[in-house]
Amino acid sequence: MKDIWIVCKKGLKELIGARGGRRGFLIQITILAGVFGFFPLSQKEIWMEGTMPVVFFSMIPLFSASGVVADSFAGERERKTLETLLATRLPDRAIFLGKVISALIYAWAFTILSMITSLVGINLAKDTPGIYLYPSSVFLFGLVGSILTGLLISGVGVFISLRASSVREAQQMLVVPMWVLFMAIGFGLPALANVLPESVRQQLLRWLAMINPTLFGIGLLMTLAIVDTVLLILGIRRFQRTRLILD
Amino acid sequence: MNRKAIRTENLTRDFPTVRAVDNLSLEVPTGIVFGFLGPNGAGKTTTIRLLLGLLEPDSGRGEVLGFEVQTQADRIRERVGALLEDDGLYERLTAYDNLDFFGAINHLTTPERRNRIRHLMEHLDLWDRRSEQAGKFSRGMKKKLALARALLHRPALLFLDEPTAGLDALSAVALRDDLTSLVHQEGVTVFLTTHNMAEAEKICDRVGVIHKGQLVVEGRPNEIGAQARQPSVKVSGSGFTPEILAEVGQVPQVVGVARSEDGLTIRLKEQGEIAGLVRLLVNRGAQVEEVHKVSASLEEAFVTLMREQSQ
Repeated sequence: MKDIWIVCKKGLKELIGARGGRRGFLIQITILAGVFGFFPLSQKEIWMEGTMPVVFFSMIPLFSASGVVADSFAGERERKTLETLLATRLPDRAIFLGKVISALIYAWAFTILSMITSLVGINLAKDTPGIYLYPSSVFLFGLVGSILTGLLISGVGVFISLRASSVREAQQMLVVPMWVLFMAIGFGLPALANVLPESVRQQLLRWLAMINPTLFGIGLLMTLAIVDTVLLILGIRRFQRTRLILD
Repeated sequence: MNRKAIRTENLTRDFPTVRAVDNLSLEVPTGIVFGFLGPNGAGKTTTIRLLLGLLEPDSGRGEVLGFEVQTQADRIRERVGALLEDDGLYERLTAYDNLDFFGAINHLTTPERRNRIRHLMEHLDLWDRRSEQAGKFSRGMKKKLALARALLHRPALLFLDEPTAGLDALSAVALRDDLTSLVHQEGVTVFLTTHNMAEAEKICDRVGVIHKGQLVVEGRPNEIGAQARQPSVKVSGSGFTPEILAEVGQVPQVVGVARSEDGLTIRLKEQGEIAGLVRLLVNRGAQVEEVHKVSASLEEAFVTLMREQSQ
């Protein structure tokens, strides 16, 4: 654990502590504050009543972590620090998990900041008296969901970054699965719904209406947790320092 | 007790288009500075990577500090320091943070790290610039910082891959001096690769020459110089008559005699006693002012070896 934390701490220090990194961090915070301040300000408490905030909070890590994870190994390789890192006494597992966890912490920090920004926005805009807090389901699903999606993107990203020779290559490779996911959700599912026969569609809608949203959410989170675990196990197995020096 | 810091037996590593290390058998005793010399692409860096467990050999075996490179590489990496081809510094971190990170990796406690970092940075004149980002350092300073990083945890063996490559002459001399003093102070064995022969001659106790992955020769720098060129003696003075030259030419150990601007050059069959030759010259009436044995510099020896290998 100590070794994992050492790698993780260094990664975060490089991301936030460094001058260039600090600027990027502040830009991302400003954008998030704008987005997550704007919606609650305009929609007030209504914004919190659907599943939208949970989806939003769970998606934040996908964007905030993608750049960081692409940089994890490919960046070390590009800046020619990887070989020196591999020549230390750090175990393979600590290097791999340290990278994943630093990306996860970075991504999760953005989610928390966004949740706080939204909360401030709602409380500034609402018409009713008293302090508004998140419903416990939104809070819990947002928190856990963001960890799991953060872990997903960190795992996939580090996995890709392991074999990429440059950060750009890793970023390009990482964009592909993200696009596939978004296209599938945004266009694939509606398109599929249109192709289905009316009777099947009605049957599906009835079935969806019967689903308990809490149970559905728990199922989704559990699926994500299983995917994350598989990814981590595969990543740890694949991470062998004797295969990482590509030149 | 194992007195060999490094031992390899027929160590071999192939890449798709080339055999980078070819049946390398080598022994490096502890407590010395060992120079591993060779032209670019000879297999020096691959050898270091194999010894550090960063690459797996295709055949043969290697031992570092008594540990097998294939099965105990983690134990090797705990005990060695490395300054590889690239200095490997995190340019966005400060000089101090770079060392602090590697100190933490090596499980030095916070006070140990603080003291050790200060000691090394002061020794290398970097302490006043500890809060600057490593990326802002000159190349020479980066190499110094990387050297401090490699020595931070008091390793028993230090791998240095072309430590002065790319440095200007002054920075190279400064780094070499720092390296020599720190190595003696710390009592560390050094495995150094370079293609700078003058550097190797100055700081190495023993050298090995590698070419196309094969060890060509190994020994003390002066021995290698002597092996590479026919030994000779230069005699300064006057009165070297043709009769004297003819008589010297008859001596069994002499291969040839030639007049030079200020005296004679006598080529010998092998290195050996030359007092008899000097006595002969003096007895025959020559005025001998100065006599010295000539052997090839390591650089000359290296060039000769490489030419022989290419043929």
